Amino acid sequence: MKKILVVDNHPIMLKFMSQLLEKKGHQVWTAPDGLSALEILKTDIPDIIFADLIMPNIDGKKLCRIIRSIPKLKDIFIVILSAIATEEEPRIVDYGADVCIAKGPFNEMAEHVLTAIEHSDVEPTQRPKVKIIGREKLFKREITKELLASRKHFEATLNNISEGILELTSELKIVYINPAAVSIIGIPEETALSKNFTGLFNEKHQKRIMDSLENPGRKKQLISSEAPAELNDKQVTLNIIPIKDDGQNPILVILKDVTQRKKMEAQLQHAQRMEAIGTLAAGVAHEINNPISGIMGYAEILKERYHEQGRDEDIPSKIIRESDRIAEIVKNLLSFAKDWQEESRSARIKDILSNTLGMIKGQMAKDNIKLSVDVSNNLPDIKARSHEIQQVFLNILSNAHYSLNQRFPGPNENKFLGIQGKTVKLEDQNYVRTTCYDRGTGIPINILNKICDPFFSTKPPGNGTGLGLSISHGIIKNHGGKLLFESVEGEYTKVMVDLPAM
Amino acid sequence: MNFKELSKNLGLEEEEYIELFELFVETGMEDLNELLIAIDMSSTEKAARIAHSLKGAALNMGLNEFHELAETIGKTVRAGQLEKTAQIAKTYQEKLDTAAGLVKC
Repeated sequence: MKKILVVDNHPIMLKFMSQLLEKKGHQVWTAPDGLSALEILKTDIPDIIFADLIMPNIDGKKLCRIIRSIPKLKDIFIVILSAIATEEEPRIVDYGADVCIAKGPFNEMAEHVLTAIEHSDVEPTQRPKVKIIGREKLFKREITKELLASRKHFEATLNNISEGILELTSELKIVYINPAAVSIIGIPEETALSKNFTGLFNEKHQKRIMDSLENPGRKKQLISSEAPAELNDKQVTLNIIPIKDDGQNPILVILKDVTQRKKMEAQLQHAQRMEAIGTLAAGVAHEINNPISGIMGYAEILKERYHEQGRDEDIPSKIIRESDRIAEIVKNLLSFAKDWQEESRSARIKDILSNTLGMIKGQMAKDNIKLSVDVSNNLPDIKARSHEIQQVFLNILSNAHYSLNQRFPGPNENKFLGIQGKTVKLEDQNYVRTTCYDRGTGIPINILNKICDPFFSTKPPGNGTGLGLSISHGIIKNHGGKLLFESVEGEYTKVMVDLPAM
Repeated sequence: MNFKELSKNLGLEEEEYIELFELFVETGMEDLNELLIAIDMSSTEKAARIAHSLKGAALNMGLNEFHELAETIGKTVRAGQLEKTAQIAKTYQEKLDTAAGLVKC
């Protein structure tokens, strides 16, 4: 007695095979498609599988491939039952089947089926090459050829299209996946088929995907690039199309990988925001400068008058001092925005750095910060306005200093600040990259894209204007360079200053 | 329709054949309904697929008359003669109806 699984979408074929095989004393399971067959194979392992080639929900070709890829199933004797045996002959060998029987009148098929069962006793390694039996008497098949031609046409289209395309059953199991979808999802076709589609997504996106797929009105649904879903570390959009004219209610899903596009959009948005802020800052600074000069002038007059009257009042001096502070802030704002007039000259990063460090080294040593500087003499020169670059370094190093003190108020062996210089090549241009690495408090990911905004500061009021990094950003941008940040909150911050090499 | 002879031709018991024939009628009726809908929607590809399924089942069962009719349906679909196809499909339906009556007797 053999255990036999018959997979065919035509009820007559299933009935005929059951009658035939049960009469011979075999145990028979039947399944109307590849997906149901895989369900049975989860719990039962038959000796032989008879499978149709063209079926809904995972066809015979894919079913064969999946079976051959699962270690506990791979030695099952597989017989293809097909009405397209002749047309598909060259391919059937590749599917991994052992025998192929051409469908025809039941008396002839019965004979071939029983012969195939006899063949199944041969050890898997001894089995001869796949052969097709019963095709001698097959009827003419103009229609078949046409159907196959049209099927192959669609297959070629789906195999080469750049969008990922999947077909799901109403229970959301994957029954078709094209190569583009395989590459987006990142698991092989054999593994993806029969898997639950929503399970592929990151947990926090699963409910959203489920809601769009369940979709009681059976309308088209879109998860657009406004708020893409996350899958295999990629950002994807989904176009969900329920197929209406079929009793089984399958769902078509078109996947698009928009990771790169989203990244570029974010960069563009950031650049546009910086530009807008720059324009605004320049305008505001200009408008404030005039009244400030007025206030300072009147305060001077007041001071003079008090002096003449012999009154000892310090209020005018206080007004002047506070106005000076406003003027300083306005000057900084302008430096973020304005196009610089000063000429750039050839300069060495090493020199700029040592000038900067000269100013803050003492304070760092006092705070027990271990400083390591690794900047070679052989780095190429840069074309720069040195005092501006010095201002940038001063900003970055002061931030690192502050952050290290926040994390380690006292001495600590992790209270470390490293500076390294090297050459990097980006888009065919050589840059000198200065990296400042500190093991301070780090930057929370949700504010990482805001730290260059003017007046954005995490420091308590009075400890910072929130202009340091926005000015630095403006300076580096004007030098044709890039200011990059990498950080893990609570662990470290890395700031990279890339300046074009000469 | 001589079930005895038909079953003998296929090497089946008459009872087994009748069981299969009942399924043939049932699935054939479903296929024909689908076919008529496909014709209404001018979906020739779907119509060709159904014609193919009808033809296969008739061949399996050794039912030459149905096999030939199904083959004609396939040809007219391919020729784009959908009205003619619908007419033949209706003839097929009537024949199935008659045959279904035979089983019940």
